[in-house]
Amino acid sequence: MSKPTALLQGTLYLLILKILELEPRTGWAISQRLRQMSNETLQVSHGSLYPALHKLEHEGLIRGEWKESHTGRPAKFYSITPAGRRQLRVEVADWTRLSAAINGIVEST
Amino acid sequence: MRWIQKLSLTLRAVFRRREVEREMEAELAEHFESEVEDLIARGFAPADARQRAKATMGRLDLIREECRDSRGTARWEQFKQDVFFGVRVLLKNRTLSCIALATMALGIGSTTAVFSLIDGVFIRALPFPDPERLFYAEHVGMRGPFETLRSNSRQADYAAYLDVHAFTIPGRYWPERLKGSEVSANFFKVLNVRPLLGRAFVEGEDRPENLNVVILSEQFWQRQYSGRRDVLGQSLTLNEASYEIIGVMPARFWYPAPDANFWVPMRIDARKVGEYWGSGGLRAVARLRPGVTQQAASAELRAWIPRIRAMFPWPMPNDWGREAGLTELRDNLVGDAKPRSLLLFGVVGLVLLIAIVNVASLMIGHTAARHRELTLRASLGATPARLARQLLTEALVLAAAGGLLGTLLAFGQLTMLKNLLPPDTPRLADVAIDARILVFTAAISLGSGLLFGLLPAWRARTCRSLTAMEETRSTLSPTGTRTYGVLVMAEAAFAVVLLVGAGLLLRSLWNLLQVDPGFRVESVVTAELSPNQTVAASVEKTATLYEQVRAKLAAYPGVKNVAAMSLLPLTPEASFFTAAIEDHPLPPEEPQFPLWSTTVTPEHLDTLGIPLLQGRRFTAADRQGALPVVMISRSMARRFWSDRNPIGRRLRPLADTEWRMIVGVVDDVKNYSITGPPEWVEGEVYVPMAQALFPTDAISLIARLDGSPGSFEKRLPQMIKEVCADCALSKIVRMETVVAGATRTPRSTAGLVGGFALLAIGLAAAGIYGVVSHGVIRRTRELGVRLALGANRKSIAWLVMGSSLCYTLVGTVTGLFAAWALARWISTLLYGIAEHDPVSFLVAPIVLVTVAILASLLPICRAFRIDPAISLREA
Repeated sequence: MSKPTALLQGTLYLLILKILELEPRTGWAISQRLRQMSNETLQVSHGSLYPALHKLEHEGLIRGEWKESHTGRPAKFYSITPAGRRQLRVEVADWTRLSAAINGIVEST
Repeated sequence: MRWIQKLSLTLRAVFRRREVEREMEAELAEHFESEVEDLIARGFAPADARQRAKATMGRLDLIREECRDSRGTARWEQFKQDVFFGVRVLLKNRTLSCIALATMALGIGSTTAVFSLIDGVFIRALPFPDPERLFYAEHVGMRGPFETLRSNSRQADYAAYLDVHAFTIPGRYWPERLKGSEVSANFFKVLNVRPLLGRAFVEGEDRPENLNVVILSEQFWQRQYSGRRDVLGQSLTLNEASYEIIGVMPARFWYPAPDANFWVPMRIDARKVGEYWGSGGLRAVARLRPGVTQQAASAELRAWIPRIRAMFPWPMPNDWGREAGLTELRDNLVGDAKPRSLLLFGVVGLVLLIAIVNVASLMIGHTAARHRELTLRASLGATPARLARQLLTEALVLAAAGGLLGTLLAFGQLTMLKNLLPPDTPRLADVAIDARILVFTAAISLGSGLLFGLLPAWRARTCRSLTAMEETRSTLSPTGTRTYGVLVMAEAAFAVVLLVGAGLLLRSLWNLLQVDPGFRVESVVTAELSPNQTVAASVEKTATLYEQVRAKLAAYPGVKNVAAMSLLPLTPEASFFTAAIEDHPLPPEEPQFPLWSTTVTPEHLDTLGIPLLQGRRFTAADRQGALPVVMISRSMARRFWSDRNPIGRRLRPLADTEWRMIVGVVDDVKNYSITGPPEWVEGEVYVPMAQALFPTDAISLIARLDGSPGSFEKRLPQMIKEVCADCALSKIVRMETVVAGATRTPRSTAGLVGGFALLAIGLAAAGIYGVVSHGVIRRTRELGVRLALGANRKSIAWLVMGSSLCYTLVGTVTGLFAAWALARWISTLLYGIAEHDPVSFLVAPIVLVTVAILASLLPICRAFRIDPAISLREA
């Protein structure tokens, strides 16, 4: 799955933001949610999630906070920031436009 | 909000790197544990679960690296690495680093020291509140015009001061002289400076009935009263009058001159017509009122001039006050120190450029020697930009170290500079290295680093291919020679400009030193005698006192002549009167002739050995009541009576009703300065002391002795005390010192520029030496082959230094053109030579080329000693 990763790279940010839109989660929880929501179609290597998370944090789109998780151990919880919500709206709109365009092409042939 | 988070995360990533790393590890570990627990919950055996979890994680080291990248601080990390690496490279090549560091430190240190001087003297604002609203009122000059402006101006507040002059104070053994300033009562108010202690003058304290108050300078207060606060209310005796101490000014306040020990009110009394309208030496400052521009206030001042001219009790020439106006106070204070300081700054700038060129060529040589290392890095994946950045960082490390060292050096150099500069350089006390100067130093250090780092970085582009690694260091690449050539050229050009400048200044100085002052200097002792106020106020009493002093001093064994003058020659103090001259009538509304005047006693010609050319000298008979007489200088005789005998002609000082007859013509003497009196003076006149135009508060005694004057100097105060117990005696110096003092400023300028030129030529020599010897090392094999094939020494020598010599010549010619264009900037500092003086323009290139050849000699000798067998085997 080396080629699709490139496609995923851009959309990974969108997916993370989308998942965090509802509630703060840890990195592991995000990866679980990704798997569930996409019906196991999207195989994100767990590791590659973290660079993306750190990138988003440094961009100020999400915020990380150390809290106690349900396991009793401290874990880093990510939550979406107002800037992240704005970015999410933009990305969703872009994505909708792009996928509609691609669908149009794919279905017409 | 968002940018705060971004910034704090970035800062944290940079400065709390370890903490951030730990958190990242903890986060990854937590993920791993959660995954394992989840798998176990789904029924996997623990060992199996760990295995699977590991597999889903991916490669941990790659993830870590990517996480680090996503922090956006990779550049910073690289920079840090480069800095550490740079420091290591510098430490490894100790000789190279030391030379480069010393060169940079010298350049940056000198530039910093001179810049702080320039900053203190004329960039830094005057230490008064709102200094930009303070102006100097040109050509106000007297109490009457000043008072008129002060009471009538609507645009500005005017204050005034007299030039700092000496007052007599009672000393421990005999009266002493101390410099102080007379100021108008609103002086401190207009400058807006509060006293440290007590109060400033209040309005009306410059009226004749309430003059007796004094404000001390902080230095004088510390010295004389050890800083005691109960000094207020005590009395200080100045010129036999008692003054009440009402205040102490803060240490930073030194206006109008650093040697003012105290301030007393200036008497402004319209009833004293002569003093009010006739006595000059007053200087006025103006502070603009809110919302007023310099133009408006200046226009107002000029509008008042004709009205003031009409107020004078005697007719004033039409052009009186023609040049009146407001100019910047700071410029007025700095005066002619500006061109000299700027010259010095230009000079150190050139020294710095030469230093940069030197370091650049060192760095290039160093980079070339690292060619293999760089190529290896390139072939391992470093991009050319990455390599260039690394080299640039190394240069910046060097520059920063050089800057630090230079700053330390600058403190020492500044102290030296302050000692070498004439002590009357304005605002020298304000000169200091402070935060602003350090910012400047940091900027020039980084700028230099960029300059000498860019070249090697640019050349590192070529370190690309693996094949380059196999290249041996047999020959210089053509581009390498060219780069070196350009550097040598630049160095030669800069050095020649400096050499020409130093040559011009040194030749001027030489001319100044050769000037014949017009009088005998050896074995002449001078001293200033200030009688008490009653005596000083009367020409007759002063003459009588002098006669007693003369008799006493003349009786001392070894004394050949004793005389007195109002002002010693070569003393930069104005002493002139305007006069009408017989045979040269001018309409009364025209300005009359300004004549330099010196009051002398009959023996003055013998004491100073000034030849009498025509007529007779003064005698004891030329006293009050007798026919008023004068002697004139040879130039004046030629100027006014070139075709006639001046003896018996007459002139009349404007303040006088009587004509004075010319009885003698004496040879020219350098009054005022080594270049003679100011050029607006039309002639020089000597007046007998017994017939002086006006009384004076001090006369200069001169005595010529047989042999050494040492014991006479020691006895002098005692002898004076025996004749006149309340006379103050000051400035006991030999005439040699007076003469030396007259050339102090040009000596210091020429000395400093010469010193820096010497430094520059030393640096240039080192640079050329470096380039040539580097060439020899790089071409060892080629030279070995040539020697083996029987090349003679001449051709080897030419091979080694030919190209650098050619570049030196080209640079020299370029530098000469530049110097030719720049010379007019220092023309005002020159004396007795043209700004394009052929000697300076000829000697400078000869010196430089000679130095270049000398610097190449050592490497050439090394080339001769190359053993072909060894060099070939080594390569």
